[in-house]
Amino acid sequence: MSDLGKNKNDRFAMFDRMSTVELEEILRQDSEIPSGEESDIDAILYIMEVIARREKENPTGRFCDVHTAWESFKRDYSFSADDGYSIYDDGITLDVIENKNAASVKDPTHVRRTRFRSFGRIASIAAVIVLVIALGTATAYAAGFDLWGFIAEWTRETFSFTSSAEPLPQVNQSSENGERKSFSSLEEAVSYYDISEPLVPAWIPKGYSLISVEAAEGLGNNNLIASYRSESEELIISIAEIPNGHTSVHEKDGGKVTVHKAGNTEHYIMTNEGRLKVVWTRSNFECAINGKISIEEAQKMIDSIYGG
Amino acid sequence: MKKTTRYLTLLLVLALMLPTAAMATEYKPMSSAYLSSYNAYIQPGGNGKVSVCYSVNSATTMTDVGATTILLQESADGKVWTAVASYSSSVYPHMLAHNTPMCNTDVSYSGVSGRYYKASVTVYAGNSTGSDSRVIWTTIEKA
Repeated sequence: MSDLGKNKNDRFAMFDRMSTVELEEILRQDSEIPSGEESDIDAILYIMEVIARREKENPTGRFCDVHTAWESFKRDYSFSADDGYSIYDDGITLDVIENKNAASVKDPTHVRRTRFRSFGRIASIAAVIVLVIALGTATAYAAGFDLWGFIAEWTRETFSFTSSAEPLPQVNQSSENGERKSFSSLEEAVSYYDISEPLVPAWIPKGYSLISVEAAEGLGNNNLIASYRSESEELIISIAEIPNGHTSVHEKDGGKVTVHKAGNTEHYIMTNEGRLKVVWTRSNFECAINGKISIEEAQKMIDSIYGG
Repeated sequence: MKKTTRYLTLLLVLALMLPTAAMATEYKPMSSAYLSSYNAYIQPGGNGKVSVCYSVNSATTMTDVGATTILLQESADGKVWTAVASYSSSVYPHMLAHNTPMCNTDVSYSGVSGRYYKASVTVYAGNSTGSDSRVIWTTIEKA
């Protein structure tokens, strides 16, 4: 084996030890790689080889026969069932592909350029329209700016804050990451971590009682969470230190975001699958209230943080 | 001059139409009955050590909440990336927290000083009624 091959095998040996499910997850993650960044093609090809080898050794039946797949491709993606042309604007007919007749590929008589040119023009116009709408979306959903250096941004799918200022120092770095602590109240937890900012609602909707208060001490930040329960629902209040400006992405549905201002802080109210969610930042903390409560109850909770 | 005015008017009309067009566009919301919020980032620890830190909050208390898979990638130039480590909750149980609405933890890797690192994290929340997951990316950090 060449040095190159040996090095490659050494480098990718870890993939041999992974389960097929894990390898498929890597392929899935690679398919969602951010634009402008390149995949590790060698690694991806190696992973595919490993999966193919395992399938050959122990067929699971999940992959269909290649001839069946090719017939399916021709049936589903042929540009027209009877003209033998593919959907791609390269002038290659299915006959050409099947016969591997390279000369025919360059033969202009085999190319219906006019139709493809029109198709390309329509596609270009569609692309411009999509771009204009996308820019419009960004304009439509551009949002507020809070006093503490975080800009709120949201789409119909998610909500997040982005940092517009230098990250603040962490309040209390943990000694053992991943450690969990329990407290008898959210006030006690806030006091334990020397948090002086007003973050804890004094008022909780009727019918809810405190179930647990936990802190999870991470490497970069500490998170506090309080869980309240009524007969059938759960209400959650979370307070998280923002680690070096890395704020969270919040799931939301297509409902509109409203802003409730209290204590010189903008609180963003939205919905997520039938649950009301309030998200805000104050100093170096990102906080949320999450539960099946009304907007009025949410606003009363917010106001109670600041003595209202 | 007349032509310029006509173009400017057209541009203004288009600009005014943009938000309406955007609002009218149909989207399939990506809301979740299981996941509430999540973040992930790389924290350099000196001498090449990097930690993939993440926190996941679920909508309610879940049987499992956290991350199921983390793929760490390395680059010498910040452009071409190589997968150097993969972490699975089946091997590293601390990647998931149980019977809680919150997970805040990390996994560590001994990398090379001066190289760039990023990771994809599959965040997850689930209980007896079902589950949901998302793949999120950290920003790029230099070890």
